[in-house]
Amino acid sequence: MEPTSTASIKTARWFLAGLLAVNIYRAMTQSVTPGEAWNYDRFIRPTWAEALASFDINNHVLNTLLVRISTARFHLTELSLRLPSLLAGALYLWVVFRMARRWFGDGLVFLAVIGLLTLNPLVIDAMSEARGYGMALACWMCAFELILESVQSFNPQKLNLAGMCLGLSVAASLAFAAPACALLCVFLVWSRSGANALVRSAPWARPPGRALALIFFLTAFVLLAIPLNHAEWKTLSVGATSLRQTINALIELSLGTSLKVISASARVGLALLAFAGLFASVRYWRRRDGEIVALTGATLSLTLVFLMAAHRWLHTPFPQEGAIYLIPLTVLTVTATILKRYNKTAQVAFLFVSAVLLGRYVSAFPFGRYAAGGQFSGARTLAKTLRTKAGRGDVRIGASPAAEPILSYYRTRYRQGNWQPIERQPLTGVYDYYVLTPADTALIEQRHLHVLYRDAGLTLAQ
Amino acid sequence: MREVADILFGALFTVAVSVALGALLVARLRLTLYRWEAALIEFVAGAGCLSFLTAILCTLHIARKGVFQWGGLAVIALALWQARGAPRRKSFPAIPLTWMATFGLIFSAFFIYYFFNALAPEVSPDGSGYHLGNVVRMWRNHGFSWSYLSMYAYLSQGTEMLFLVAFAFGRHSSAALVHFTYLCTLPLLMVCWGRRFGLEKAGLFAAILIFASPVIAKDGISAYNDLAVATLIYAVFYLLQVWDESKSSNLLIIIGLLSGSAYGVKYTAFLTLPFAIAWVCFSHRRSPAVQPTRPLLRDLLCLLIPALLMVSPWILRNWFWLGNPFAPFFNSWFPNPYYHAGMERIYAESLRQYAGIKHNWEIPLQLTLRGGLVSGIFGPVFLLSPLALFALRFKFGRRLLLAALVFAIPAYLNTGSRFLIPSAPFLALAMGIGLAEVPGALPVLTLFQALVCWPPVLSTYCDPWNWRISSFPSRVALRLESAQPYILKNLPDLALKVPIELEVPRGERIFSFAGRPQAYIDRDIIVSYESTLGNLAQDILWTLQVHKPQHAQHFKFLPVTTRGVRVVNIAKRTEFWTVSEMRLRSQGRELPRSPAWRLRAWPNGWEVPLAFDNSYTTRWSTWEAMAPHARIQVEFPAAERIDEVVLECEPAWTARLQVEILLDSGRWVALTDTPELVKSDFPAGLRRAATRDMKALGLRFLLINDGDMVYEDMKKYPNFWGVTQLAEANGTHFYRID
Repeated sequence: MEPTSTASIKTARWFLAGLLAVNIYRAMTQSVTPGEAWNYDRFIRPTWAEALASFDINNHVLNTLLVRISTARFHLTELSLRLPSLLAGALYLWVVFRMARRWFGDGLVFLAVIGLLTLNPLVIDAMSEARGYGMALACWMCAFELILESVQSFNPQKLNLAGMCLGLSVAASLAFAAPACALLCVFLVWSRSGANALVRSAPWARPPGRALALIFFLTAFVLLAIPLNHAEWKTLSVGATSLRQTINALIELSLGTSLKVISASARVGLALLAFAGLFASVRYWRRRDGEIVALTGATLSLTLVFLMAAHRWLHTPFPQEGAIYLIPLTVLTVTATILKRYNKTAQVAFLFVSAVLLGRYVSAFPFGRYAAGGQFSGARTLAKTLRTKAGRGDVRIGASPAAEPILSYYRTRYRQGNWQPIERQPLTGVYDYYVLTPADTALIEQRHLHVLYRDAGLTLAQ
Repeated sequence: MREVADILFGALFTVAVSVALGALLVARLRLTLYRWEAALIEFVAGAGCLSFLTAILCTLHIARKGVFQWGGLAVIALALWQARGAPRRKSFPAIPLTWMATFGLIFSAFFIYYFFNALAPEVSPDGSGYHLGNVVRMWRNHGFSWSYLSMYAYLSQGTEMLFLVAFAFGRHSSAALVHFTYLCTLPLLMVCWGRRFGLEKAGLFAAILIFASPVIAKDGISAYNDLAVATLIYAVFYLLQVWDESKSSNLLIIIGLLSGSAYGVKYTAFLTLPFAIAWVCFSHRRSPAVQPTRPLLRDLLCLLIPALLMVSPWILRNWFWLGNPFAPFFNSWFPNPYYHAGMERIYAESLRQYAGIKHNWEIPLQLTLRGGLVSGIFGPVFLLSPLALFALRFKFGRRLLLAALVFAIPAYLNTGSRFLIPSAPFLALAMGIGLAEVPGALPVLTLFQALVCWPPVLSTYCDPWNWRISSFPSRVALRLESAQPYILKNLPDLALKVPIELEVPRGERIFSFAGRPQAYIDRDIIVSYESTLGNLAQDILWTLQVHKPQHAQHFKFLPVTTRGVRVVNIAKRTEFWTVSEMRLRSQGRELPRSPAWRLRAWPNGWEVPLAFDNSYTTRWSTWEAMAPHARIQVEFPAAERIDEVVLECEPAWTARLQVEILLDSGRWVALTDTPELVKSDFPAGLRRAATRDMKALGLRFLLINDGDMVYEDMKKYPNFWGVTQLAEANGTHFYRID
C-alpha cells in the first residue's frame, strides 16, 4: 500500500476522525443502556466469585474483562464503562480504512465502502456502546485484514495475529463463532488447495494453517474457559428463532424501517448474495488477484450454512444484534465481486445503491441516544434529579423491573449508598421514590404520587 | 519456633537420609546421570530404600527415634565419605535464560505458598485419618501394630515409613513436608526429562502445569502418598528412556527398585512393574541386534529381583498377618476373618461411582474447573488434553500418551481426581510436545494455568467445596499462633480429644460409624466400614432400624435321625444371606444347643457362632454376594432326631434355601426347600442387647454423629440403650455404654 494522499483519502481520514469524535462524545454524554447496566450490575460490579458463578449470553466476556479493568483503573463513569468499546471502535475504523485502501484504491468506490462499513447505525452504536459486538466486529475485521495481508506478503506472524484476533472476536461475542469459524475454514481450505498464489510459486511457503486454527482456539479458550464454566444451555439459547427474524431485525436497526417489502427484499437479496458470493468465490478461487472475492464470498455463504446447521442440529438460536458481522460481510462481498467484473454498469449501479443507502444512514445518523437504550435515554437526568431530591437521606426506591439495572448502575455511579439496594421485584411495597416505566405508570394514580421527572420512557415519582 | 525447627529438621533429615542412600546406590551402580537429574533420582531411589529399611525396623519393632537418628547420620556420613573426590557430574545443555527465569519465578511463587501450607498443622482428611493414624500407631508400638485391624492398616505403607522417620523428630507437619518434597521433585524431574531429550519447552510447560495444578498441590502438601506414587512412576518412565539409550543393566536395577517402591507406596501403582517389563521386552524385540550377547532374561532378572525385594515387606506382612497378601483387596480369593469380601465389593463400587454427576460430559468439567464432585481439579488447561494427540507424530509423544493411558487405568477404580495424578505428568508433557510448534501457545498457557490456579484466584470459580489449598496460614505455620484453633477449624471432631483421652482407658477402643482424625487421638477407633469388627458392631447397632428380627423361616419335614443338618442356598444373587439364629426342633421343642455341636458355614465360617448365640442383635452373614452352596450347618456328636429347622432372620427374599441332612454314608441329601414364613413381634430389650453385644466385642465407647441412623433413637432412649453421653461437640456425640 503506497503512502499516497488523494482528495478521497483525505476526505476519508477526516470523516473517520470525525466519526471517532462523535463516538467519544456519545460515550461521554449518553445515558447507560439497559444492556450495559445489566452487564455492569451482574458481571462487572460483583466480586469475581459472584460474577463467575453464572453466565448468560449478555455477558460479552472480553468486554466485561476490559471494562472491569477500565472501571477499576478510572472511577466509574459512562466513559470509563465505554472506553474498551471506544478503543475497539477506533480499531475498527482504522481497519476499515486500511482494508478499503488496500482493496478498493481511492476514489468514489473507496469512499462508498468506507461509508457503508461505518455509517450503519448498528455499527455506529457498536463502536461506543459498552457491549461486545463492536469489539468482536473490530477483531473479526482485523483478523480478516491480517489474513488478506499475510497472503499477499507471506508473513506467518500476521497470520498468527489474525488467529488471535479471531479468538478475541469470539471471546467478545459468542455470536461471532460462526463467522470466525467460517473464515478460518475457508482460509484453511483455500490455502491448502494451492489456491494461494504464493504457495503455487513457492510450495515451501504454505501458510501454517494448524497454527492459525490453534491460536484462534487457544485465544478463545483462555478467555472463555472459566466464564463458560457455569453456562447453561437455557441461558445460552437466547436469540432469534429464525434467520428471517435476524435479517428483519438487522434491517430495522440499520434502515429504521420495518416495511415488509424491504425486509423481504433484504432476505431475498442475502440469499442471492450468498449464492452469488459462493459462485464468485469458486470462480476466483485460484486467481492471483482474487483473494478478497474468494474469501468474502465463501465466508458469507459458509457463515449462513453454519448458522442454519447449528440451528437445525444443535438447536442454537440465530443471533440478533450479534449478526452485525453480516454488514461488512455483505458489503465486502458485493463490492469485491462487482469491482472484479470490471462492468461499468454494475459499478454505477453499485455506486447508486450505495449513495441511496448512505443517504439513508446519514439522515438517520444517531448523534444522540443509542438504539438499544432509547426508552431510557433520560435515565441519567432522572438519576441526577433523584440524587438531588433524596439528598443524604436513607431512601427506599422502587423501580420497574426493566429500569432496575439502570438505577442500580447510577446508584453505584453516583455513589449513593444512602439509596437502599434496588431489588428486582414487583412494586408491591411502599417506597420513598418510584422509578417507573410506562407499564407501571398506573401506580402514580393508585398511590397518588407526585411526579418529579418524566420523559418518554421513565417517570420519577415521590 | 523450636517446634518449627523440629518440624523442618524431621523433614530435612528424612530427605537427607534418602538422598544419601540414593547417592550410595547410584554410585555403587555407576550410573551416568546429569547433575540435576542425579540428585532427584538419588532422592527418589533413596526414599525407596529408606522406606524398605524402616519397614524392616517396624517388623522387628525397633522403630525408635535413636535408631533413625544414629542410623541416618551413619548413612549420611557414609555418603559424604564416598562423595569426596568423586568427579563432578555434567550439567544439562544450557537453555535460554528467560525460560528458566520465568519457570523459576512461577515455581518459587507457588513453592512459597505451598511450603507454608505444608508446614501448617496437618488437617487433611486422610492424612489426619489413616495415613498419619497408622504412623502414630507405629510410633507408639515401635513397629507394626498387629492388633489393630483396619483396611487402611493393611494397605502398603511405603510413604508412611518415611513419614514415621520424619514424625519421630517433627511430628505431623514433618511427615507432610516429606510428601511436599515429592511435590517439588516431580516437576523438576519433568524439566530434567525435557532438557535431556531436547524437549525443554515442553518440559518447562508441563512442569508448571503439574506444579500449579490445584489437586496435585493440595495432595502434595498433605500427608498423603499420591505424589510419591506419581513421582516414582514418572521416575521409572524417565529411566526407561535413559535405559533405551544406554542399555545399562544397572539402570534396570534402579528401575526395578523404583517399580517395587511404587507398589510399596500405593497399590494403584501395580502397573508400574508390568509397564517396565513390557518396555524391556518390547525394546529387546525391536532391536535384538543391539547387544545380542545379553539375553532378555538377564535384563528381566535385573528388573524383577529388586522390584520383588521392595514389594516383599508388604506382601509378606499381609500374608503372615492376615492370610491375604493383597489385603484389603481380593478377599474372596484369600478369605480371612479380618475383612469381609462383600464389604470390599461395596466399598470398591462406591469408589467407582461418580456421585451427583448428571452427564458424562460433566466429568471433564469437574476434573478441570469445578472439582466439587471429584474432590479436586487439575486446572482449566487440562481441558485441552485432546490436543495432546498432536504429540502422536513424535516418538516421545507416543510414549508419553501410552504411559498416560496405562497409568490412568486405576482411576477407573476410583473416581477421585487424585487417582489421575500419576497419569497427569505424561499428559502434560504430551500436550507440551503437541503444542510446542504453535507460536506463543506454551508461554500463554503456562501463564494462564499459573494465574487461574493461584489459590486465591482458584476460589473465585471452582466449586466452594472443591478440595484445594484455600488459605495462606503463614502465622500458624510458623507457630506464631496456636495450632489448636486451626486444627479445630478444619477437624471439628478433635474437640472431643480431651474427653476421649480422659474417659477411655488406655488400650480400650472406641466405635465410630465415620472416620475420625486418628492421628491426633491417642486411642484406637474402630470404624464401621474398615474391618470385620467394625461391620459387626455396625450390624449390632443397626438391629432396631435396619433388620428387626421379626421373621422366621420354618422348614418342616418328616422326622429324621441324622448326624448333621444344614441349610444351603442354591441361588446366585448380589445380596448377602443373613441368619440371626438357627434353631433345630423335634416335635415342637428346640434341641438344646451343645458345645459339642460342630458349627460350620461357608462362606465366612468364622462368624457362624453368631447364629447360635441366642442373641438377635448378632448375625451370621455371608458378607458377600450369595452364591450357590452357601450354607450354614450343624454336625452333632451323635445322631439326633429332628423334624424342623428354623431360621430367624430378616429374610433374604432372593435366596433359594433348602434343608439337607447328613446320611450315614457321608452324603448330604435335600429334604425340603419350602419354608413357612412366620412374622412375629420382635423381642423387647433389643437396644440393651445391642449394647451388651458391643461390650462383648470390647467396644464400650461410641462416637455418634447427628446424621447417624441410630442417633435419634439413642438420644430419645438412652436408658433403654444403657448409654451415657459424656461429651458433645460440633454434632458428634461421645457415649459410654454403661
